[in-house]
Amino acid sequence: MTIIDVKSVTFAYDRTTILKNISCSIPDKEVSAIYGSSGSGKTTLLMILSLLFRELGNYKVEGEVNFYDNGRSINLLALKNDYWRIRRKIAYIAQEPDPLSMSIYKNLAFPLKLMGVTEKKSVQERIEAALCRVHLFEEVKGRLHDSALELSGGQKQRLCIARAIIMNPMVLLLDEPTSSLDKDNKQRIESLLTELGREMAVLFVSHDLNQIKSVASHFFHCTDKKVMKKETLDL
Amino acid sequence: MIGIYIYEYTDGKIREFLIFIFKVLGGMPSIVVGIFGFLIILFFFKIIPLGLRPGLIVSAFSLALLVLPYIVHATILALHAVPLKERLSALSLGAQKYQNIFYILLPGSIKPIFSGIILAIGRAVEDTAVIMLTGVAAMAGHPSSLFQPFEALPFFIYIRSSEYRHPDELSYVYIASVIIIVICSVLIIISSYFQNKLLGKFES
Repeated sequence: MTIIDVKSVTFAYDRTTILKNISCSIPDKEVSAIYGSSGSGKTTLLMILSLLFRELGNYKVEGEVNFYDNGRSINLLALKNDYWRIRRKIAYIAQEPDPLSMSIYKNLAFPLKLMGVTEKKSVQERIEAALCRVHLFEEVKGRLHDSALELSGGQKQRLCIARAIIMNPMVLLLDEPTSSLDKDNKQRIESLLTELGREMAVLFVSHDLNQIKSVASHFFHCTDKKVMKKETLDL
Repeated sequence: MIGIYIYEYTDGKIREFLIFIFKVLGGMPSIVVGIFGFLIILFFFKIIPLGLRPGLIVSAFSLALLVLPYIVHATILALHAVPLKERLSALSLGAQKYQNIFYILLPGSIKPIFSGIILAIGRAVEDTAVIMLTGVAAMAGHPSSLFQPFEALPFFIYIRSSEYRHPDELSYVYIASVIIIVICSVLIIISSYFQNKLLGKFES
């Protein structure tokens, strides 16, 4: 079942065309990947799906991006305000792990605070559950109130994933989630994505075809800013 | 608030226009602001007869108007300096615009904004032209209300140094000058204290 349907999207920033006539369908409860060389517009596509492009200014966008929210179709590009409602359902994780300069606990409590969840017991339970889902709880349980900036690169990335999934999103977008990690941490994130793909739609950007083969069920090949070709992997 | 509104809630030509306006206001000679304050007094004295006369309240309003562009400009520059990555971090977690401003952008830019406010206060402390036209008077003493004329150190220095009859009178001018320097220094010390201690708590 498709959760996001991208139809003929063209995107230009500062009068430079970055994506031209892109189309693709993201299935629900599967891991999908976007593969392509640098500058082919992979990150831009994630910015469009998460509506973060609205914060850039000086852009021009055409086409349709339909998000199927429990059977209701929403054209994301037609939305004029209240983008935050969508961003709580389509979570985006940046290439470089970007925990806020506060404690691990507060980093995870922050999205809950934004959503109005402030009851201490409920916050604590959801934080523990999210940390367990990303296999980080055992590593940080004794130092939840220490700064998140003191974590290792791999731990920071898992914290950012935990911070996103604590909102119970329907779609998880990740921009090269393992680009700055060592081999062990890379494998951890990869198996985590496979696990999360059973519960929600996961779409990640990568230029490592071997990684895509080991994690995703299919990928979209982004070439020359124009073609978005779906390729199925034989697993 | 004006700086936040201009940078976060307007865009394109409107934002450019408002920034230009505040740049012009920032470069305006203080005597022009003084004239504006004087016109306000005339307006409320003659056209709407509320009996407003030169006094502390009009001077305070005019000085606020004088330093407003500095604070607006400092706020805009501080918000502009927040990296895009930081700006998007809370938005990607579903923060609403006001939540992003309150939780991320302001804590991240409070230091330069605060420095701008301190510099603006320093500017208001030393300004003479504005208060000359709106409320200051020689030998006025302590004002009994906000609507009374008052004495101010910069004006005292100006009057005494331009009208002295005996070299001894100049010693008052020197003392007043030292007092102004001390006040400005205290302001800078307070601003450093706030930056290092209190703002650290706010940021966390």
